[in-house]
Amino acid sequence: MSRSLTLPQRRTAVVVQLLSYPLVALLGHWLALPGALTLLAGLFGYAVASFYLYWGTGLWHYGNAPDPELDERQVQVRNHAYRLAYVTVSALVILLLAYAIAAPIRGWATPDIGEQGSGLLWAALVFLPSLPSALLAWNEVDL
Amino acid sequence: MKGDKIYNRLSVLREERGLSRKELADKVGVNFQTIGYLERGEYNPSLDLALDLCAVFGLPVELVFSRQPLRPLSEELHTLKQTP
Repeated sequence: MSRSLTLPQRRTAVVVQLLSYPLVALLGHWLALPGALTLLAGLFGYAVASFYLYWGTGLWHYGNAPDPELDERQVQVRNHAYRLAYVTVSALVILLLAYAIAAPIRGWATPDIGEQGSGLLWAALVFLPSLPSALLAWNEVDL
Repeated sequence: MKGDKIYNRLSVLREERGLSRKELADKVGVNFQTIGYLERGEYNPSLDLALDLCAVFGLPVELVFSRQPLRPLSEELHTLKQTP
């Protein structure tokens, strides 16, 4: 089965997919909700948006398929998405490292390695594998 | 690396032969969306793909692709007829 989504629908789903987890985590922190509940709510938002975005659209395959399964334009576009993903992740890692170095000096908050640390790990686990496909979903035009 | 725009007559030739984008895509082994990108001039094909497309239409490459905007085929034919 194949289905297509318009560019606005795809972009909305990408925003929900990539921001659901961090937004729910922030909300949970402000409302002092239990960490496990926040984690589940964030993952649920991510899962729903991912299902809507990738189910039957071929976009997940597009972002993760080996070269022989794509044509020359798709390989070019997919490589561009990987480059953007690499730049994005590098920037995030550098920012996090800079924060980790500055936080003890400035007295800023740092995550508790137990509960909040596992939240960060989950955030990385859901964000990193879907980033190239999400970039493709954001950029590919409607035909 | 972004090259110069390459103009083509793919859309006209495809419709002239009654082919859908999907049918043409299957003949040259690409995704049907790539044919759309080619027809709109948003993607320049590799030499390999360009030659495959020309082979499908049975035309020389200079009649299908050009660095300059292409004249309508009818106009081209008229000019050829006038040439002694």
